[in-house]
Amino acid sequence: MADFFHTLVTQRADLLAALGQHLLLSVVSLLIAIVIAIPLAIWVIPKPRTANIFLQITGVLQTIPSLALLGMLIPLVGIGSVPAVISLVVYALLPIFQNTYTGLTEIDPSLEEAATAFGMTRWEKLRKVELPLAFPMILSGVRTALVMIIGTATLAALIGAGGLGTFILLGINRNNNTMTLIGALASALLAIVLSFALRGVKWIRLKPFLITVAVVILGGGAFGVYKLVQPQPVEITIAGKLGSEPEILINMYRDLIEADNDNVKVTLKPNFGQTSFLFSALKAKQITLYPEFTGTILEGLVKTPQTRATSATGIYHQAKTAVQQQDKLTYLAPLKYNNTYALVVQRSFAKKYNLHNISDLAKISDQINAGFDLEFLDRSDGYKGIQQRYGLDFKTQSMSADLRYEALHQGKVNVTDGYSTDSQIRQYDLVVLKDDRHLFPTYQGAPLMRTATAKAHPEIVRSLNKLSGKISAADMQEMNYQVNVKRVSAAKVAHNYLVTHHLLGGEH
Amino acid sequence: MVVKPCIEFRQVGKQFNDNYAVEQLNLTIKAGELFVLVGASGSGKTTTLKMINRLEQPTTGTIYYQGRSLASIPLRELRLQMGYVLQQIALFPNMTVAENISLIPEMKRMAPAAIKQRVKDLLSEVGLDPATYQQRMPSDLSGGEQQRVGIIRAFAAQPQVVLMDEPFSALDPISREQLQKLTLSIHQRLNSTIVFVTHDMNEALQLGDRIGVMQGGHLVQVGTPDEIAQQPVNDFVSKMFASAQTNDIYGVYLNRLKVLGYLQPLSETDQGLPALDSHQTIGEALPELQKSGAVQINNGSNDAGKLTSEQLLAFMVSFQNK
Repeated sequence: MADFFHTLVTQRADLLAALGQHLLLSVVSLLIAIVIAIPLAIWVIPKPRTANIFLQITGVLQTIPSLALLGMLIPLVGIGSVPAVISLVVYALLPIFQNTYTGLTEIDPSLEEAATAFGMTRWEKLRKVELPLAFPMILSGVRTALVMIIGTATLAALIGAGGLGTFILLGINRNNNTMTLIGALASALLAIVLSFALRGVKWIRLKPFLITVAVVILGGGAFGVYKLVQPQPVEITIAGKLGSEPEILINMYRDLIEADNDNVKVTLKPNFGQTSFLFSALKAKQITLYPEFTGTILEGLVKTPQTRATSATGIYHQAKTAVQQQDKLTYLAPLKYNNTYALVVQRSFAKKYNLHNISDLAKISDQINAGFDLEFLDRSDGYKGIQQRYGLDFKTQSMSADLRYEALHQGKVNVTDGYSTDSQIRQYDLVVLKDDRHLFPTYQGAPLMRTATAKAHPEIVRSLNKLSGKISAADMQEMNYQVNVKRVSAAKVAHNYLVTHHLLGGEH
Repeated sequence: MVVKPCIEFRQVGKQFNDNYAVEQLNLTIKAGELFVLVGASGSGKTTTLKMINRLEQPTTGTIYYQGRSLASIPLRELRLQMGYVLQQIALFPNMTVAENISLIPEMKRMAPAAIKQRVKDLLSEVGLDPATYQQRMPSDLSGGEQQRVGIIRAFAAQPQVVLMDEPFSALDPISREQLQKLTLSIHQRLNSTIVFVTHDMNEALQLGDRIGVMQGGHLVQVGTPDEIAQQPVNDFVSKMFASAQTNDIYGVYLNRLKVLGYLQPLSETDQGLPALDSHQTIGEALPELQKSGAVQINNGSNDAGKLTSEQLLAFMVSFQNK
C-alpha cells in the first residue's frame, strides 16, 4: 500500500499525461463514431434490408480481436494515434448504430402518423419527434461504446499512441504490479466517471452539439495547419522499447544531441512499443531513430545470413551491412555491454565452490537445482545449448520470469537464467557466470536510423557516436537498478552517467 | 347562403393488394359542416378519411379540395390546412402540453406571442387551467384530458378542415360525452369543416350535421340525422340506427326525441318554458319537466320544438318495448 502511494506520488506527472492522452484518444474516437453511426442509422431507417446488412457488418467488425485489428492497421496507416483511433471507432460503431436504429424504429407508429399528418418534413419529424424520443436509447448506446473504448484504449500503448496502457505495459515489463494496478484502476475510474457524467445528460440540443463538433474538428484542423506552416527547427523523435534500459539510453541520446546542437529539438517517446512496431515506425518516418540490438537485427529484422559471425564485432558488421542493404538504414557504433542471456548465482554460492565460468558448474552438477524460465529451457541457445556445448546436465524446474530472482534470493534454487544487465543482479548482489564457451549470442545496443537522416545530419551522428564503446554491463545493471528499484527518473540516471563519464559538462 | 363544396370525392376507389377498401365513392362535403362517417370496422370509413389528407392515396378517381385536385396541392401546404385528431391521441410524449399545441402554429410561422396567447385561450376553452396544465407532460394527464389537448392541438392553427378518426372510442363514457359537447361548441365557434369518423351511430346522430353510412367499402346512405332515422335506405342502416339506442334511458339525447318525432311545434304560449339544448339528455330534462310539465328544446340557433311529459312517457314506453 505504501508502495502504491509512493508510486502514485512519484509518477503523478506521467500518470496525468497518460490520463490526458487516454481521455483525448477516447473522446475523439467516440465523437467520430457518433458522427458516423447516428447519421448512418438515420439514413437506413426506411431501408430495413440495408440496415440489416450494416448491423451484420458492424457486428463482424466488433468480433475482430483488438490486437489483430491494430496489427492489420499498421501496414495501412502506420503506428501511433491514427490506427488507435480507427480501431476504437470501429468498436464503438455497433452499440451506437444498433441503439440509434432500434430507438428510431421502435417509436409508436401513431406518433409517426400524427407527425406526418401535421405536414412535418422528414427532417422536422427527426428533429422534433424521433430523435428526442430515441435519445435515451441512443445515449445508452453511446455509454456502452464509451466504456468499451476506454477499456480497449489501453491497448493503444502497444502501437505508440500512449495512454494509460503505457502504465499497464510498463508494469508488466518491469514486473511492477503497482504500476499495472495504477494503470488499470485509472482506466476503470475514467470509464465510471465519464459514463456517470453521460447518464446525467437529458437531451442534447442538436444545434449546440453540432456546433461543438464542428468547432472541435475545425480547431484541430487549424492547429494542424498552424503547425505545418510554422517554421520549425530540426525535429528529432527518438523512441525506445518498453523498459528502463531503452529509456535511459534515449535520454542519453537526447542530452548528447542537444548539448552539441542548438537548433535541434528532440522529442522522446519512451516505452513506444515492441520491436516490430519500432522498426516499422522508423521505416515509415514516424520516428527518427531508436536503440536496437545487434542480435535482434540478425535474428528477426533481416534475412539471416548463411554463416553467422561469432565475435561481437563480426555480428555487429553483419547486422550493419544487412540492414543497410535491405532497408537503407544506418546502424551506428555499438555500446560496450552485451545484453544477453546469463546464468546467475548467489555471491556466497560462487565463493563456496569457486565458480567463475559456466563450465565451472560441471564439478558440482549433482548439487545444482536450477530455476529457468520456460522460453530459456526450450531454446537451442538456452538450456539445450548448455547441455550440448558444456556437456552439463542438472536438475531444472521451470518458473515464470518474474519469480526466478526472488527464488534464487530466497535459496529455493541456486542457479537461474537472466539477462546480463538485469537490475536484480545489482539489487541482490548476484554473480554472472562467464559464458566461456561462447554459447549465448551477442546483443549489443546501438542507434538505428534511416541512412538519409544520417547523411543529412552528420552532426547528430557525431553526437551519438560519443557513446560508442561506453557503458559496461555493470554500469547498465546499476542504472536499471536506480530506475526500477530506486525509482529515480531515467532522465536523471542518464544525465548522471554522462556527467560522471565526462561526456557532458555537468552542472556545478 | 350558398354553401360551397369543400371536399369532393368523384368515383374514388382504394385498393389494398386485391381488395377494395373503398369502391366507387361519390361524396360532397360542404364547407363548414360537421360530417360524420359511420360504419362498422372494415367498412372503409377510416380509409376514406385518410385519403383527404393523403395519408392514403386513392387508386382510382379524384378527390377535390376547394375545387382543386388534391394531388395538385403541395403535400405540406395541404396538411397544414387540415387538423388531425387520432383515436390513439398521439400527443408527443417528449413535449409539454403547450409545446404540443404550439407545434402546428409554429410550423405555420405564427408570431410566438400570438401562439402563447392562443395556447392559453384554447386551454381555458376546454376547461384546463393554463397555469396548471401548460407545462405538464402528456403522461401526467388522464385520457380525457389528453384528448382535449389533442383536439385543441388540431384546431390551434385554425385549419379549414379538421379530420377526426374515432377520437373518442377509447375514452370512458363521461369523457366521451364531455368531448362530444366540446367538439360541437368548438365547431360552432370556428366554423371549420369537420370530417368525423365513428363506429357509434349514437355519436353520429349526436354530432353530425349530415351523416354518411358506410358498409363494406360502399357509401350506402348520406343524409341528415332525421333523414337517416326516418328513411333508412336498407336493413343495415335501420339496424345500425336501432343498435345506437342506449340501454340507459337517462343518457338518451333530446335530439333523438326530435328525430323520432316526439316533439311538438312551439306555440306563442310556450315562450316562458324552460329551454334545453338538443344535445342535453333526458336525465337533464327530467327536473325541468317535473316543475313545468313541458320544456322547449333548441337545436343550435333554430327552435326545435316542445317536449311534454306525456310525449316523454310515450317514448319511454316504446323504449321499454324494444
